[in-house]
Amino acid sequence: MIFEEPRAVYESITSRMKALAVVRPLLALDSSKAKAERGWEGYRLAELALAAIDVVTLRTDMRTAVRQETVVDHVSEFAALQLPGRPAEEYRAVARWVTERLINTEERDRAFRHAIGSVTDEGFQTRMTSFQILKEVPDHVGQAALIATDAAITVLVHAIDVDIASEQIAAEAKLEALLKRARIGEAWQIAHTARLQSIRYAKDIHGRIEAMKRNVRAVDWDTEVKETVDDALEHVRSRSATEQQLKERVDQLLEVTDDAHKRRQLEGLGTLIVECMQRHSVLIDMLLKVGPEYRRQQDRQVFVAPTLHARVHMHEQLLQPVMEFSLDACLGPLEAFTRAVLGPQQPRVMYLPDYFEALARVSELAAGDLVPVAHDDDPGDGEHTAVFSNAQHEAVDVLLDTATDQGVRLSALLGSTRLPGPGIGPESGTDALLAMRVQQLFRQVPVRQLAVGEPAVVAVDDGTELVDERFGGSDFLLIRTQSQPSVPPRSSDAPTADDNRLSSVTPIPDRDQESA
Amino acid sequence: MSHHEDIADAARMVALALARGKAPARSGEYARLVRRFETEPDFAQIVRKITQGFDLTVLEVHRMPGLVLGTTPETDFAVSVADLVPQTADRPLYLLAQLAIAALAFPRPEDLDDDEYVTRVSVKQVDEEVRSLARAIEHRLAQTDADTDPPADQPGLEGLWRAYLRRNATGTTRADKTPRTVTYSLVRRALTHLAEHGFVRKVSDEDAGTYATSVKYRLQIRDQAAGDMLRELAALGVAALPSRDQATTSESAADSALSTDDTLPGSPLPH
Repeated sequence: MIFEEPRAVYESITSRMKALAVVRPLLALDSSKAKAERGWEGYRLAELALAAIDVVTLRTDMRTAVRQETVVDHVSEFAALQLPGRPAEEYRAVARWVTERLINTEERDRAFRHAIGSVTDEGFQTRMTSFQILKEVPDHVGQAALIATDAAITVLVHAIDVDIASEQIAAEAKLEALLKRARIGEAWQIAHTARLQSIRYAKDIHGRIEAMKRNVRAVDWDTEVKETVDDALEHVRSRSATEQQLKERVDQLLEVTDDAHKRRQLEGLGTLIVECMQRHSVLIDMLLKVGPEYRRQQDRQVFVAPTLHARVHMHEQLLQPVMEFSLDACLGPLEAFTRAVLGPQQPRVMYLPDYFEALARVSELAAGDLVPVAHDDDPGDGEHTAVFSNAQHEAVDVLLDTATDQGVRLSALLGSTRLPGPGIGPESGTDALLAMRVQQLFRQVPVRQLAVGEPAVVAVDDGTELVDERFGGSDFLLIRTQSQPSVPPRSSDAPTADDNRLSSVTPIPDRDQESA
Repeated sequence: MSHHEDIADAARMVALALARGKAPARSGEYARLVRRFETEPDFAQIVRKITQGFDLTVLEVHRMPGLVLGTTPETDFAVSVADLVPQTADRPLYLLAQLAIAALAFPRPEDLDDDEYVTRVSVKQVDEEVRSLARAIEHRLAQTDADTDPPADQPGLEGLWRAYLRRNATGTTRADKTPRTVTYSLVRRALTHLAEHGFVRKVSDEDAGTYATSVKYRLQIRDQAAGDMLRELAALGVAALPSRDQATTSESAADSALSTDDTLPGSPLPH
């Protein structure tokens, strides 16, 4: 090459320079000011960037793009590997920053630029090359997602402007040779590279299909596409056969190798080759669909009339004029815009929870709490202590047991609780417990005991007013009663003043309900 | 397939277009209906008629978001701005934020036609953009000595730019929250509403919230919103409608001429 004319050599220099330029944004990450400002000196950002390109390239399954969150998740694992013991948020922040630098979100058009010299007919010129690494495109449902550009894949597989096919054959030959000598680590690298190349291949076909979808006339089927597709189909078929052989070779080696490390490597290689084979079957599938897709797009694009719409300069024709409108005048045009942007909405059917939501909605005007949330009377988070002690419960049980079939007045029992004694006393509060228990007896007739014929105490309201210093209401009559089994309580000889209320069936009071 | 089945299919397609988060790539049924729309002019016509019955319009059928519908002034299916912003004082500023988000997302007219175009917009960016525009107006009016103060009894005559500048960009309340009336909050609310309807997606918290746009957002603006607003402005005598020869299609001009020639009789042209 030395003897050739510089002019002829320069083409090679230009193309290599273009490849080197792609590496620059990655290396620049580690010397960026942001790295020091954010205290990320410990991370190797360029290496994280390679991890990001890797995951986008490998996860991009030829037709779908990868969401940024997925990439950030993946890259933050690498960040954690580089610098263990830091908070997970930091890993994610580093990963997101690296990913966004690769998208180049700081530039309006997202392009990285580099001046590169080239020799044309007019002589030497310096031209500005622009390229992207990760690109934001709409995915299959029209939401933003990431793909790796050709430039990015170039950085990964260090193969520029070479014939994909010949590169692939060379890689396979090398792989086989390495396998023969059982240099598995190197063989893995080669297989990995081969996989990336098949991704490039698929990208090429995919790009053609996409171009076809946009405008079927822009694609020349007879000369360009058909040839490429036929070649690719033939190529992929033979490659699949080669990979089958490689897989068999790996399996053979697995049988004869005892070394645990080698076995692990071989298994890894086997998995990788299987993955390559799967990828090829997807590729074959894609290639088989190109023809029908072309005809379908032809049908679609010829039949459907293109939509006519005005080209509007949003900034100059809409935003700038409306800013000078008065508050009153601007509403019409702006409402028209927002209504049209948000489009038709599925009407909401009002159902009961909606009313609740509407009533409970807090006005957005209110800053802070509308109503005080914490109140002195609210039960605290502390331990719930029982209000009444066991001794008090026992005392009340004893008192209630004193009820005879002649009946005893609540007022009399209340008097007893205020006498000094175990569990009772003037200030003990046992009178309140008694009043509660009696109230419960009145509301909840011990039906079960009555039904099986056990003696039970019932509270009866005969209209007598309670005269007491603490409680008001009826002076209940507490009567011990016992019914015959399977005889309804009303046939008992208890002087039931209020039959209807007695016969209502309610659960038997539970002791636990009273405490607390 | 019977005629009645066709109508059921067409109505289903409209229902899928109204539902959130449905796309042909996610539903085999939707993909089948989109294919029918593209290849069967009669079916496409039924879909158009059904949307007409709802006082809606078919803006277009796109392979990613599927059927994209537009609203008419009569329809009950459009969002109510009063529901979006209950406070009348905030309403013009919120609506301005919606327009500024769109203007920032699609700075060039051709961005609206690019099928691969997605971009990012952040709360901070939108606020800075509107503020710098407003300051430019303020600066220009200050040089002409014009009195920008509105009459005391007619606060509605205050300029929109002035009302925006009057609000703080951000701040904190006593409870350490961002006040709801600052412009950051209004822009964020606009973006949140767009995100709720699937037009943008939040990508990070950077710059007070960064969002990525979707294809549907672009189509809704290109096919209806930009034109609607332009007409409103024209009615107020502010801007001229682009003349007919400036109007162009999603394809290049040469292509549109071609496809019009190629169009067969009975194709689903809007009648």
